[in-house]
Amino acid sequence: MQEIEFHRISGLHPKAAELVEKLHAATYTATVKDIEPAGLLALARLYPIHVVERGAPKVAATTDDAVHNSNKFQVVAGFRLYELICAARVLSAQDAQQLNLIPVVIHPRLKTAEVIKLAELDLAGSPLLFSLGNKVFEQLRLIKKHVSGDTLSSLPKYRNLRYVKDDSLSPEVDESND
Amino acid sequence: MTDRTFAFEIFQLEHEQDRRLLPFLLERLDAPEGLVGIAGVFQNLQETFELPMMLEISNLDEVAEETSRLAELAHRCHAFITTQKKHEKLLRNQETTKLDKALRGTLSLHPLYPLFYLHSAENQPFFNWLRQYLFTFRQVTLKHFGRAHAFKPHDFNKISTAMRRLTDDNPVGLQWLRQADCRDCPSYPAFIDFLYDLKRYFVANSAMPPNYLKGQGQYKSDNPELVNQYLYYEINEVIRILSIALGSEKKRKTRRRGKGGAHGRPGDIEHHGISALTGSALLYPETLTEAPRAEDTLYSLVETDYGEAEIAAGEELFEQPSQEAFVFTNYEPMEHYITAFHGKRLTGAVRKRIERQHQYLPSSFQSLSDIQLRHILTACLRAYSKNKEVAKCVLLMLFCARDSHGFKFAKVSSSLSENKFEAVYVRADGAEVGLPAFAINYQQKMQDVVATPLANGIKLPFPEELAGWLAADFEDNWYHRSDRLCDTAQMWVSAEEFQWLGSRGELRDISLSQVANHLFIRACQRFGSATATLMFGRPAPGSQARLYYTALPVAEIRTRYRELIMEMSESSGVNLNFVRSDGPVHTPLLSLGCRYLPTKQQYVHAIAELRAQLEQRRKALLQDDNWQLFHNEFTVYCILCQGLLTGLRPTHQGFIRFSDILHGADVTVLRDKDTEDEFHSRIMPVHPLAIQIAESYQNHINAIAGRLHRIGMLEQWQSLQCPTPFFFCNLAAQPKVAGSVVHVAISAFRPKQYAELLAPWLDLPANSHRRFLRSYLDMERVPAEMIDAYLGHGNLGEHFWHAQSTLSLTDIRQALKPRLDKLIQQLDIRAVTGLCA
Repeated sequence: MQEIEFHRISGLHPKAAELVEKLHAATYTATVKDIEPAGLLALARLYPIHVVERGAPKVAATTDDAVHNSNKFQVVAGFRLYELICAARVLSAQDAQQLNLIPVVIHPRLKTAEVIKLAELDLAGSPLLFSLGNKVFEQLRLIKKHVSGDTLSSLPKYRNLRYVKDDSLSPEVDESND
Repeated sequence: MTDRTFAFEIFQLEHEQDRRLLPFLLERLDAPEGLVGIAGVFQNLQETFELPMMLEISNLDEVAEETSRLAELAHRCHAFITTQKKHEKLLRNQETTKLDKALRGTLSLHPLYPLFYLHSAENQPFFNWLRQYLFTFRQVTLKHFGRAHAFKPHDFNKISTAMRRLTDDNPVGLQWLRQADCRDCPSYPAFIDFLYDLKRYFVANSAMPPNYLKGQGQYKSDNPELVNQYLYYEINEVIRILSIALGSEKKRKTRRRGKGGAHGRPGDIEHHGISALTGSALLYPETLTEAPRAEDTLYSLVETDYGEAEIAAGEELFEQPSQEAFVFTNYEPMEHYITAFHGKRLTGAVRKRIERQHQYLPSSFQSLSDIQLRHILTACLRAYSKNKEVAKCVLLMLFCARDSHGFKFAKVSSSLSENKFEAVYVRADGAEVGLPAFAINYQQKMQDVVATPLANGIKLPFPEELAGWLAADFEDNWYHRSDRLCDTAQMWVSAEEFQWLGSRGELRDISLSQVANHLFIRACQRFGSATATLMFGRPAPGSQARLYYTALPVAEIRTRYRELIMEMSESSGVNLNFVRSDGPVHTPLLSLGCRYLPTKQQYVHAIAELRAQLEQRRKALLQDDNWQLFHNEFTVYCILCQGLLTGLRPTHQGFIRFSDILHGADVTVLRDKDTEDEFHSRIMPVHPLAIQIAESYQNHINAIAGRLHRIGMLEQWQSLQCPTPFFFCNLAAQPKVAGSVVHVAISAFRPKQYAELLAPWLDLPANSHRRFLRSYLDMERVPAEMIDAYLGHGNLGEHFWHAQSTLSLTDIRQALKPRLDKLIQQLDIRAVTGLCA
């Protein structure tokens, strides 16, 4: 695993993008505001985004540095995290600064079939692996009970665990109720 | 621009610089295209510049250098003119010396050219100096004073004709030329001294009328004295024109002010109050319009910025910002103020003066005191015999708040028809008067919309005392008067007649316009200018924006009129009572005012149905592009609901975003018009529910950001600078097949699109909520200035965020909050959660 600058990732691999687009309507428990940039980065270290180099440079470049910089990577797995990082960067310029270096796993070269396989695995497997069964909010509350506040500080979702957001209650009041 | 190709053909100049200079030279010489007799001109020019240059020229290095270069060029060009036949007309015409023959066809278009051509047998040096003057005076003036434009084209014609006449048909002038010593002329003033000398000589040697200094004389007259006077006048004019080069101003005649009769006064101003002159220029009264054609009425002409977005939003012309206004009185003819408007711009001082007037003018000047009111009422109600006619006029003027002109074609009618008001008419039993509604001008035609039905006029109830008095009068005179209101064809009362009405001179200090304005001003004070205008069918001074947004039920206006009369009765101590109350016969459904007013029911339905639709959509968010449709409908819902609470103009972003709000203070600063001045950035208090709506919309946007990324739209959204709110478009073009790839586009809020998306639930222009809100708040008797502040209406100088304003945000919040709470309850406005994840 290594860290690369965000702008060197050009986007999703075209084959992966097709798959992701078909699942555009999927919903998740968290929105972009539910995990802070620090949290996103920490999670990215845990479950790195998988990228592949887009087409190896055919002509020997003048310096190693130039080759290094011109490399563009394409995401082949870890879509959800990548999506959240992109959204966070668009919604806040401050977050964009924090999310400049992204931990990734670089695959030197992959055949298209391999790319599809990885992407499908992520799209199909990750939800099985991570999604909570029923009573999501009850489970989250349970998690909250046993996890230190320090860890939860970068996960704002835990501050207000109500399915229908009620603005008449401030977060503090809500927490004391729990 | 004269075509110079012929000149280039003739003078085949080698040097690039010469070729570049040639047009300048010819322009200076005022040469015609044909270059008739140019050889003579060049000869003269050569002679002219062999003389020493006048001080004004030689003092300015640039001009002097340029002049000598041009003179040299003229010299070189002269060499190209051969004696061949094809160049014949370029040479000096030796047969005719009369300029108009020699230079046929060029005199009027090229006035200075003949003077460069002219060869005077009497005094060539004088004309050489003149040529030096004419060749350089524009450049010199420009360099010295920066106003070459001080010369008008007709000035050159004047110089030309005057000088030509001097050599042709002015014997005294010729004599002077013969004897004048013009060998030296060191400067421009020295040359003008020649002309003064000529003038003196002319006066001394020709027969002039005794008062020759006044008037211009006549050139074509049988009387030689008048001809001489005219020639004298011409010399004077030449001196004045040439003196411009010395820095003196020539007085220009301005167009005569005065009787505009022939040109037409702004005829329908007093009738309509407003008239749209051109596409975007507007006219409205700045002072109280009393009588039609009152010469001291002040009008404002403003040019506004009225774009497509505003039209699409249903905004009215009056609401648009104007950069400058031109203020004028009715006295000036139409053409005058239009030209003046485009020429001049209103100075800050005038604007300030109007501002002050709007703020500080005491209304006591224009309305009546309690005692005066009592005197008038008692004097009129007990008037007898001949005085009755006058008393009736005064009473009607007072109770209808209009000048006697306002009763043109007025009639007495046994029953007032339901909704027809061509003129004022009074019911035969005197209990009611029907006044035609004030005609508001609209810039844009509008398609028919379903809204509150409108009345064409208003029937105001008269108090018993007045009704009885009028009924008796009508009945007594029915035989000889039939349905006329008065004995004479038109209602008219003079100031003297009015004074006589008061037996002991108690009406001495009262003017008739005070009588006619009293109730109107009271109505303005009590209910705001919109109600006053609707009530009496006459415009209030200043911005008419409120009128475009206010419509009140006829019954409500009648109620307010009663209140006004009761107040008058109380303060004056004269008994005025209404016995009968409005029965159900009085078409309670009709409203009076802006051309459409959405009903409460329309909004209740729209909001409820839209919410039901959202719930329906929410159940099937995974299917196809349902979440995008949900987004569009959710956006429309949020804008609609928040708009009803904020009255925001739907022209810019149409929505107060969560990030626009100063939390804690619950205040937003926004700009919903396109000007940079402070008048259109508004600070307004925001209702908590409006904030809640903004927040739930923000959460929704956060939730769909990830989805945008999945369909590859996140970058597009970012490249549009993350517009919020935004709509998905192109949705209809999608094949409705499960799992199909989505290709939609994102568009920032546009009023037209908003209105289209809202149409299935509420088919009205995008800004109809402003009409609804203004009328609703007016109905709730919220003070007019609070509504103005909230909706951003108001006159110059009335804006509440202005330095002089004493209105505070807290006042506005306190005044509006209970009313808005009531509205929320009535319309069942709720904040709805959007997509959560």
